[in-house]
Amino acid sequence: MTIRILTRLRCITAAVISLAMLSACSTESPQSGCMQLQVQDAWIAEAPPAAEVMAGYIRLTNPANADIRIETATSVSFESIEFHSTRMENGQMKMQRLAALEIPAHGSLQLESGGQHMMLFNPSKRYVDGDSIDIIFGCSGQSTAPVEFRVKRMSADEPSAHPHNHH
Amino acid sequence: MRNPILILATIISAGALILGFWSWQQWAQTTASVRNPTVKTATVLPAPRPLPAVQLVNQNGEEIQIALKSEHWSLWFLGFTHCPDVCPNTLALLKSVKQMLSAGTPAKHIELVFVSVDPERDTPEVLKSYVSYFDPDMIGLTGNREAIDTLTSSLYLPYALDTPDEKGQYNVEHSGALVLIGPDAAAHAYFTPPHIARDLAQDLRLIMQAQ
Repeated sequence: MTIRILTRLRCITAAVISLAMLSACSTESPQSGCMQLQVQDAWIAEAPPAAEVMAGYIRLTNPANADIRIETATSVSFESIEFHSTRMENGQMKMQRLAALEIPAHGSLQLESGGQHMMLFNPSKRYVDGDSIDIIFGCSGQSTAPVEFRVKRMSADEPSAHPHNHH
Repeated sequence: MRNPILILATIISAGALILGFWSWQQWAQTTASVRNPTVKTATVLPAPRPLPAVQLVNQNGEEIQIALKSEHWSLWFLGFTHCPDVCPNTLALLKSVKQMLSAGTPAKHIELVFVSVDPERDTPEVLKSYVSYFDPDMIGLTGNREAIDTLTSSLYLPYALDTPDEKGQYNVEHSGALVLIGPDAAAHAYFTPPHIARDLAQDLRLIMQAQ
């Protein structure tokens, strides 16, 4: 008796899951575009004068049912933008260029110092604390609306964790 | 038949003995904590390691013999100015550590030294603009490849120049460690990342006070 109920329950559960999967498949492509990306805490670290490269950080959230793969980032303020990852290997700080940023379905990706970050080459001018810079992300033939990054001077206390905030 | 004077003398002697032992224990504990401060993040070398006798050039283009004794302790970091992420973060943190030490009691002064292992791009002029952004008193050093290699191998801080990309840009792999150099021109302690400003300041104070 108990076994029969359990079996029936299993069948119902499986049917519900199948339905959910079916609806997910029918409404979403395997890889989602950037339109659904949600962004938070977009900032660029102010760099010393004459610096040829700056670093950008952001929190990217993907509310969609499919993974998002950001392949490009462009801005009129920089000659080029690349994605990099810093990692510690045998006490050495190593940097690796990434082909794309991957944000899993219903997941998020934090770009941060000492981890994945954006490298911004050859700024068109010297950008300082308080300036705003627009960056557009591109993926799978789509692009985001311009994302506003705020230039901030590193906080003196815990630079990697908290940029200096203006209130 | 017990002698009351003898009993009293015994009690006084025992008391003196206990007091003496307690005082000695206190003294020993204080001495031990000065000799072996409880550091949080530092790796203190059992014997300081002298800097090699190499000549580097500072941000003003002056030749500097690094193995000379000085008045101050200094905190060294090796990197390159085209490093957008880790180096500026670390140098901003060093500035903060310096401020914490000078604001503490007793105030401690420490010099900050940034050594570029990328002399091809980091000329003294570039270094000057770079280090003074973080702290006007920060010392920037670089040198010829041989001098840099002698220094980095002596401090056990290897680095590697990556192959330039199509735009001629290249990264330099380097250690994220900080080295504490004493007034005796020798390495006394290492700090490995992740660096926390408060912990660094606390450890530096302990190590510098113990010497």
